[in-house]
Amino acid sequence: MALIEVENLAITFKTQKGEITPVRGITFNLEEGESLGVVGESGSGKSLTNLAIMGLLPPNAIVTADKLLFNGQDLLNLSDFSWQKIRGEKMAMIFQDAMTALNPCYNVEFQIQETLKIHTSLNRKERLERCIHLLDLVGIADPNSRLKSFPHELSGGMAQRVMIAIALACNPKVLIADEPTTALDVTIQDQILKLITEIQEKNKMALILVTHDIGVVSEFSKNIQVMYAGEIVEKGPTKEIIKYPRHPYTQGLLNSRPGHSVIFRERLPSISGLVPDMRQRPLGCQFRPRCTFASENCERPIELYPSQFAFEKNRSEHNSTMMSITTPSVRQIRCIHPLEGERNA
Amino acid sequence: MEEDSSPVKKFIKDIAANKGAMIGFIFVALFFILAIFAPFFAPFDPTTLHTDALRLPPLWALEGKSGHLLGTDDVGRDIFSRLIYGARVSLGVGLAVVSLSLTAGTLFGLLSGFYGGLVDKFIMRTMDILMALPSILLSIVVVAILGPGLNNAVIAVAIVAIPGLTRVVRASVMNEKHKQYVMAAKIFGRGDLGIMFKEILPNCAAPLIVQGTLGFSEGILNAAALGFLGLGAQPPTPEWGTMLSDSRSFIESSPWMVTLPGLCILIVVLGFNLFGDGLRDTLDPRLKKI
Amino acid sequence: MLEVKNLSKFYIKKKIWGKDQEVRALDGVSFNVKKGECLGIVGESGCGKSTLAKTLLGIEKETSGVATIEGKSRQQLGDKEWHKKIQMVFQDPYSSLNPRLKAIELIAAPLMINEGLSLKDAKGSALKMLQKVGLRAEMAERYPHMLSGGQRQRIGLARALMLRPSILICDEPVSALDVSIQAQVLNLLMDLQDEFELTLLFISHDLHVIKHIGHSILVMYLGKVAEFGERDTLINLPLHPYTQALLGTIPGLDGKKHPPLQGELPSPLNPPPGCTFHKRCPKAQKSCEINIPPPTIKSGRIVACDLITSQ
Repeated sequence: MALIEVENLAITFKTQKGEITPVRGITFNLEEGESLGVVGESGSGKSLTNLAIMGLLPPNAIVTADKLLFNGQDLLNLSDFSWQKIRGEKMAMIFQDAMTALNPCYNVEFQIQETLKIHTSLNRKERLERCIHLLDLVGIADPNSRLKSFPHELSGGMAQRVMIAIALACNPKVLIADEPTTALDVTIQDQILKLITEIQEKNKMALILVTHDIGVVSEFSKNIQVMYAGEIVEKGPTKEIIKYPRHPYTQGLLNSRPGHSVIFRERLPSISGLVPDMRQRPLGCQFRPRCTFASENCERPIELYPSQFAFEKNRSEHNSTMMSITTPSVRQIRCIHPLEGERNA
Repeated sequence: MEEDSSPVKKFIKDIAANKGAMIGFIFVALFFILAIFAPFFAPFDPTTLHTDALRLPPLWALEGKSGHLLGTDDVGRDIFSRLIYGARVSLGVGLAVVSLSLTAGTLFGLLSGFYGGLVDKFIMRTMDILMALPSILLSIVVVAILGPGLNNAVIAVAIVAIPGLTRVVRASVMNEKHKQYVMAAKIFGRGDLGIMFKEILPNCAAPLIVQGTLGFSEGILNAAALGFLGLGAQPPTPEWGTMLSDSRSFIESSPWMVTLPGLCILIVVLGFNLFGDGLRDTLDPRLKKI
Repeated sequence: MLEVKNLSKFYIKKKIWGKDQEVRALDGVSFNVKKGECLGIVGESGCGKSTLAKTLLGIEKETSGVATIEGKSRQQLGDKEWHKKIQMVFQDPYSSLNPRLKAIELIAAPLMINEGLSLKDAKGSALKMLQKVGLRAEMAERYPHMLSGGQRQRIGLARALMLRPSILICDEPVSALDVSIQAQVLNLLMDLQDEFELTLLFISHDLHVIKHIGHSILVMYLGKVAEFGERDTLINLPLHPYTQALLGTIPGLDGKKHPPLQGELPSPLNPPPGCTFHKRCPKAQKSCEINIPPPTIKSGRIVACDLITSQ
């Protein structure tokens, strides 16, 4: 059984100008200890999906799903009390802006202790030990003296480490990291991401790493889920997707990153146009208006479907033994004429 | 993303949806109409003495005897007419107070917030001193120096209102001046004055409008208080505060003489406050709904 | 074209108790850019990139040193002429446009102020510029809040180009934008650079972007130049340990794992003695804690590291 099971999740907001559905038809499973990277631009619904899983959406959001399970427990009709039991204890989340996520009125020790007090039955001394252990775990030098620091005395990277310590306080089964390094410098970014993935492997914790930067995910998570306009457009193992993207949007995202495959100062292959307005969604494939491969058929509604990808087929033709090694494809796409072959670099 | 509306149109739409603000607006508008067209609505001249009808109760309390809708006062002036002309005075006072204090407050606030340093220190410490004095006491002092009378009362009340406005403007100027569009304007060559008035001021307009509207009611109230103390409008000017004070000795024998002007003050002040609060709800981004 | 010599900017932090503190936001920075080329300036936040931009623009007064455009300094040219030659595009497309002005007013403003034109007279050239940056004419009447991030950044670009500057400073112009939009804006920037023969100073923390667009690269660390040279020289053979680390730390699509740089940028209020980088430097030696490495020419670039120059 998967740790998190989501089936056909949709999030609707009622606004003055009618209903909008920024997230729809989301289906995915998260296994225990899996690391999943969620990639998408702003407005792709990646953050909303996670907030729905954490039960943190504002009250005017309407969440519907065929299935929304955590550890077999239905998350759709939980009482506030049951949510509190799950949040922080079994699921934890870290945000983009650690500085504002920490309460400026309290010191680091208080904020970590707070979580421990709510969710554990440790006594005062044990809690203090745990605090120091946690700070040590997230790589803060001299944890004893740092306990008394207030958020404004911490640098951005340090604050994010404290946030991670708070998130890890109760050994959660899932850690959702929503753009954890976007606000940080490159060198610090690297440190934090390494830290998160190290802890994830050590604690056998599942990780959802949300980011707009496909480069970050490519290095730090095993599986990728690409989102566009509130839908999952492609998902599968990271390495395969990076090398053989099948959805034109994924390819566009990969290719428009500067400094990789393109020659110095050559025009970057960019995706023209804008993300669709939630009130005027295009028919069928959401990416159609921006897609260079679009045809009339793309106006037909399309669901996420499993696909064998081309290089597997090719290989099996030439070498029948290869077929037995490759596992059945776990890749899924939402495109009626997916790309074949290696990413044109 | 709003595709169709300019900020002004959007604001009108938003405020129209706010019930409290609309009720306040209707009250205020009603009184403004009464004030502007006072000669049309008032059946009598407000200062004419009807010596045959002293302290006449309102129409409904008196069977049959007509002529004065809301009765007359102790010297036989028609209360209804006096109240209508009083609206003229009160709203005029409010308008004058707000425009005086708004101009001065905006100017001080802009200078103080934009330049900072010594200019800021000098202006803000002066404002602190003004704020340290109880407002009514301060206005009494000003009137005492300038002498009683409506114009001096207006000046006094306006001075009292300046520090609050200065602080509001200064706070939002300090907030805005670090935004990049100000630096951008500097780079393409706008001078200090241009930046202050063309770039920063329009972005501070929202709290200013709110404060101005609320200042209206405060101004009216303070001017009425001064009138009540005999330091504001002098008789026979029909001013609500003065009317209150003139008739307070008849509170038991002829209660309508006190109640009616009081009621007018209440309604106008309430109207402005409701409208001001509604404005705040629609204009203040911190309170804005998603 | 643009030459910067020993530019420094010290801020004085006043203290009620004790001595006033000096913050060296910019400490003896020198470089030069050829006409029509692009200099990429890279470094972490707090390294003085933005102070450099502000000082070059004359928003902050330099403590010492001089910047010259075609041999003339700001004092010689006067502020007005200087601003016609050097303009800037900002990082944040949300706060860099006055929310109370329409797109057309925003773009026309530099002309109206500097040439004394009315909006009517400036409108024509503003509209032309609007189209040059790839916006449709109907966008002219929109307010910033009705536009997307990419569109706003295009307006910022149009506004900066209205005075036909010869130098354009871009302070992280794409880092606030979505990846797919970033590529659009970068392409536009390169096109406009060629069309207007602009000299670009492109500030970014993202070495990938810098690598793509910069003819030469300036690496800054804590207000000082760590390494400065031609793009190819620097990318192919980075000498300064910090440049090496930066080139290594960017998460890439190659999936290669590499050790991250330890520690964080020290506070400019209390910089470490000697080489400011020694606490994080994987190659640091005893002498690095004492000697301040002077910028030295070595293998076709300027580098400030004793270990390299003493070899």
